[in-house]
Amino acid sequence: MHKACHALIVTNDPHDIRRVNEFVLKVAAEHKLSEADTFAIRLAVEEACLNVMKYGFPTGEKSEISLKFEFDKDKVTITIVDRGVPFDPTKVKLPNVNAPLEERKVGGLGIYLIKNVMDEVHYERKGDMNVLRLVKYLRDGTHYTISGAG
Amino acid sequence: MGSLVKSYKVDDVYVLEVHGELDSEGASKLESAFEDAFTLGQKNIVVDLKDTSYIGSSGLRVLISALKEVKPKGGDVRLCNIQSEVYKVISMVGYTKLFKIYKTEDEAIKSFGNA
Repeated sequence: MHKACHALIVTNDPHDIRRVNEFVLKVAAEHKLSEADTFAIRLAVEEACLNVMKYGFPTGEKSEISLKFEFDKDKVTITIVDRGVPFDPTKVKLPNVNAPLEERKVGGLGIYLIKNVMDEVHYERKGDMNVLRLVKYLRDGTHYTISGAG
Repeated sequence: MGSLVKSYKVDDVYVLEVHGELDSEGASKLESAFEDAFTLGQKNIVVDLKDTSYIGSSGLRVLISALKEVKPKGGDVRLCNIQSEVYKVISMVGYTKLFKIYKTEDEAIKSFGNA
């Protein structure tokens, strides 16, 4: 079966998040994704890339982040690869979103959002690389399921 | 994707109208607008999200930081005109329990009269 594939390489400079967002919106438009799917994918990819840009290279070294989108008939798989410090988002303790204001932390929502808007989140450390794989079942595909990851 | 935050005062209420997306870049602009409001001693603030079609964790962080700033002073940050996808995110992270949310800017402003 033919799989449409799109790829982008950006630097770990946080300013490059704009290129990431533009790329996601362009790919989503090309595949005529619904507003909800576009929003979810943009959110997850932005949060994942910002984490790498902000925290992946504590010594300030310059590096790259690669993104690959693979479309199947009913889902899109997004693979994000970086050479930053090992970081497994699937192991992060999630915030209590029901806590009262005084107990709420101001940050720490990025991973929570990724897990909530994507259907699958997989992490693997391969050599010196973090490999994050995000899967979204598309609303207009032949089947649509919410696995409730998170 | 540039964002702009307009601010103005209606009676004792300070309104921040966000035009554009609350991604990391837009969130910085909203944060600056909140800082200006706090410098002016404003504590009753309405954030109008009519023209905001996107919010990420940076935008969420700015909103809750502002709420934590004004609440102890007896003030509040109230939201209005939230688009459906943005509302989903705000609801997902539990902010619908922390923020008072109104359909229109007018309702949000008037709500401070019966706070």
